[in-house]
Amino acid sequence: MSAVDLKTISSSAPAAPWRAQFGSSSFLVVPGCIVIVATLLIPLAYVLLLSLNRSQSGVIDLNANFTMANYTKFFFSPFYLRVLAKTIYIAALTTALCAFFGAILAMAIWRAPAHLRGLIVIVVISPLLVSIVTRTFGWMIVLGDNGLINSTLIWLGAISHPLSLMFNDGAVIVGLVHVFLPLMVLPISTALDRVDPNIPQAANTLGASRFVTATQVVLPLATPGIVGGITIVFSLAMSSYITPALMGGPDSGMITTLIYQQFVVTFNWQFGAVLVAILLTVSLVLVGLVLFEFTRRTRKWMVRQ
Amino acid sequence: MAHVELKRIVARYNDFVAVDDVSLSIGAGKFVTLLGPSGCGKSSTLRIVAGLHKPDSGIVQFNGNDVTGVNSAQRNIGMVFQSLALFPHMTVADNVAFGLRMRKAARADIESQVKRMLAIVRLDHLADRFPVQMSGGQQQRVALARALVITPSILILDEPFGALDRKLREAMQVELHALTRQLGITALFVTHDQEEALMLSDTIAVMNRGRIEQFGSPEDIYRSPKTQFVADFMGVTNFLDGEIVDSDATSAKIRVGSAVFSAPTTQVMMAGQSVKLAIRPEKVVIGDPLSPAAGSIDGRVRQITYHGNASRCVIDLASGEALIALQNVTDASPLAVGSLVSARWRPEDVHLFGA
Amino acid sequence: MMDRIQLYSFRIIAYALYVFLLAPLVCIVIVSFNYEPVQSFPPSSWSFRWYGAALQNANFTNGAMVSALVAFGATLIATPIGVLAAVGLWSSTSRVKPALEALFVAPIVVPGLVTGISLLVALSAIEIRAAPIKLLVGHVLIVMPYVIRTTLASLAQINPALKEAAETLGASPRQTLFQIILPLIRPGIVAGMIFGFILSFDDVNVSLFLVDARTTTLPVSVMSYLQYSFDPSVAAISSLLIGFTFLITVALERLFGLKRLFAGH
Repeated sequence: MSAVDLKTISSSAPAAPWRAQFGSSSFLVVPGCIVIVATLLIPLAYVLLLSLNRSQSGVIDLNANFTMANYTKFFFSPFYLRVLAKTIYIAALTTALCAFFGAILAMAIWRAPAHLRGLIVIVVISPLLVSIVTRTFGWMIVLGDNGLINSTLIWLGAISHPLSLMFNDGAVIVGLVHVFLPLMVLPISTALDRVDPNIPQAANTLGASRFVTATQVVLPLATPGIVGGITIVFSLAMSSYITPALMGGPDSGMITTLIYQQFVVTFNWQFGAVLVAILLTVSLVLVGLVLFEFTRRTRKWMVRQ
Repeated sequence: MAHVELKRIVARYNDFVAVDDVSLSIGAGKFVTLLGPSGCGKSSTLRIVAGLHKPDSGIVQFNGNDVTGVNSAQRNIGMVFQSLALFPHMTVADNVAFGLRMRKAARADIESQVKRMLAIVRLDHLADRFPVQMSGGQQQRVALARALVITPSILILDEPFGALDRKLREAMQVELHALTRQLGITALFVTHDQEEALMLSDTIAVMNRGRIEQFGSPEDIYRSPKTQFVADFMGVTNFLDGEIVDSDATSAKIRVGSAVFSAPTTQVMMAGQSVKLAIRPEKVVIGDPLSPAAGSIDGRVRQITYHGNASRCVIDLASGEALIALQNVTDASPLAVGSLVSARWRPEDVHLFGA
Repeated sequence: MMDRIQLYSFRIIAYALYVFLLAPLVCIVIVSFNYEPVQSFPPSSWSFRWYGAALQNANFTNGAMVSALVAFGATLIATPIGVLAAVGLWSSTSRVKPALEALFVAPIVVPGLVTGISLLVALSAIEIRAAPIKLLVGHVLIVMPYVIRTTLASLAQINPALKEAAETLGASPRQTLFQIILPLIRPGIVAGMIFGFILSFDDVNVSLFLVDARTTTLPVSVMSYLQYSFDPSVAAISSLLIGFTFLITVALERLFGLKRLFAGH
């Protein structure tokens, strides 16, 4: 077909000129694609490939001698496996707590009268707009030896010596829940906004108590949001570095702590790359499993067949 | 089945009085409709009966028991929402079973009740479907079944057919009529569609600005509207200004422009009093102006529109008012826009309202 | 009765959560007015001296300067690219649209730490060592997804008939874009820019690997300061940041609605 033919066809097509010029020319997305491919995907691919090179401190160039040696080192070391298990455990616990409390907060936003809703949203989201360093510092003040909780308890006479609340796994989890709770509330809240406001009333007229209405009728309808929140929070918690570094104790190291050491302290880039690859893979697989299970369960009633 | 009674109900939203001193009695097994335009207070009244809204004052009684402070979950009502509000994550059977489960009915009992109710609404073959997999009419029947299976004291329906297309709506109306009569259930229905109200109801309460304007049988409301608002809402579109010339206890003579008409009244009216004459468009007869009959008024045809079985004429009168006439297409002499005509009607087709 | 108990316990948990969310921020502000050089709670005497100390600390002022410049530059670069991408995605009917959408959320999905490391490695491999450039590249990746997200959310609210109406009135696609679409989505774009700016300004995860001894962002210098010192000047600088962000938060809520910003559409 010649160029002339193409031209007549496209100009005589009933499709709007908009589509002809903007749709076919998805060229508008090209600069953005270039930015992401060049500054994110290619560097990430480079790192993943680097993980297949023999580790050599300070050497960053890729070579073609690929080996699984670094992965073997990881998977045959009880130390690394323990750190991985700990990372998963902390991320999972954080996610579970966020899901539980996030659902409650989202319900509170949903039920709040219109004039209070904006205020609650600001309260819930405000931590998200403050640097993670600042937030972690705030927790140091709350949990520290002279901090809010210890001072209050001593003042009340409940204790005579400060409890050591900082620098342990508990502190890390408190910090992480604080950091990620808003990210759980928002998707649940958005899902709740899509629920027909008559549905809880219908449950009510049929004799359901508030609790039954919330747990058996409303929250199941918010599962897309809960699952969305779980995937976000879990993968972010898996890769969180600052909170464990500032609030954790000597044995609170997560996989990110190791990653930081490899890249910034020992310059073992290849082994660092292995840790990155394992972090990403484990997050992806676990999140994928959650998504798969969720889709399997809700496909029947969410999708018109 | 319960006898439901509202006594002097008032409901305000901030400064707005949504329900203004409404009293209403719904006999056991009766189908009562609240009819009115949007914002007239019919939905608020219904939500008060359902226990979804607390009135600022007044009493709601079910079978003589005060339930005003009882919340919706304990009132034993069946409600069909305008949006249906089916639980999307439950199957049809689970939706219908929900109310029974909340009442802690025995499992076997739930099963047989659900089965029986689904058979009544002819959905027994779709029990395992999810709402999203069903047509609008089927979803409608699930909502009905869910509300009815708990043998509610009263079935409450909030414009349930509003979202349906015309054909389906008519089918559902017929079905609802048959179902409520078959089960002998007390029902309170809300709609803004007067035809729907006329067809379904034993009694209609026409509401306007938070008050009940008229309460009576469909025939009553249609034939003898008590206020201009009711007449207007029931499809009377012609309101002519007139003046009483003479009146006794049963009839009156009224001057409209240069013509004089008679109309039935229920009381003696003072000569010189201003009144409105209301006439249904289908009662207006158009005749030849060259042979004027007594009690007719002349005018010029401004517009003719075709409506299938009838044509609708707009006639400009000398007073500047317009008169609308619906004419049977077959027996009407062909009219032309701009021609002079003479319009008349039978005295018994006139409703008189104080101006 | 059970209903009441359930309702009250629900409310108590909700209020406890509000306290949980705000407590650390409030504590920072309180401690920043402490007089003593050690943190104690509650402070025994009050002063503004640590605000003075914070503002005289070269680590903080330089860091604030670097953070502001990087955030500003990144927003400036990311906004036009992001808006174009959003409009492209919106009007696209192509079959690769889902893939493109996935590509554009990649910077959010990939953890900041991994983004930082990848850039560190890749930029070192091609011999780019200047921290300002590295930071700028990394922060464009932080800002862009949010500009795209808010722009898409605004576009989703545009009645498609408007586009067609403009066309039937004789507007070219370019005129439709500039005279109809862009004015309508301006609030969304502005909200995305502000939000992207804040996230860039606050970032640690990406920046941690891209800073060097001479060029450090404010959050990174605060973090390293925290690792060896606890005096209230950190609280002072943090309070300033909290106040600053709080004002912007309120503005954003008014302008766009916070929920839409974070939750997408």
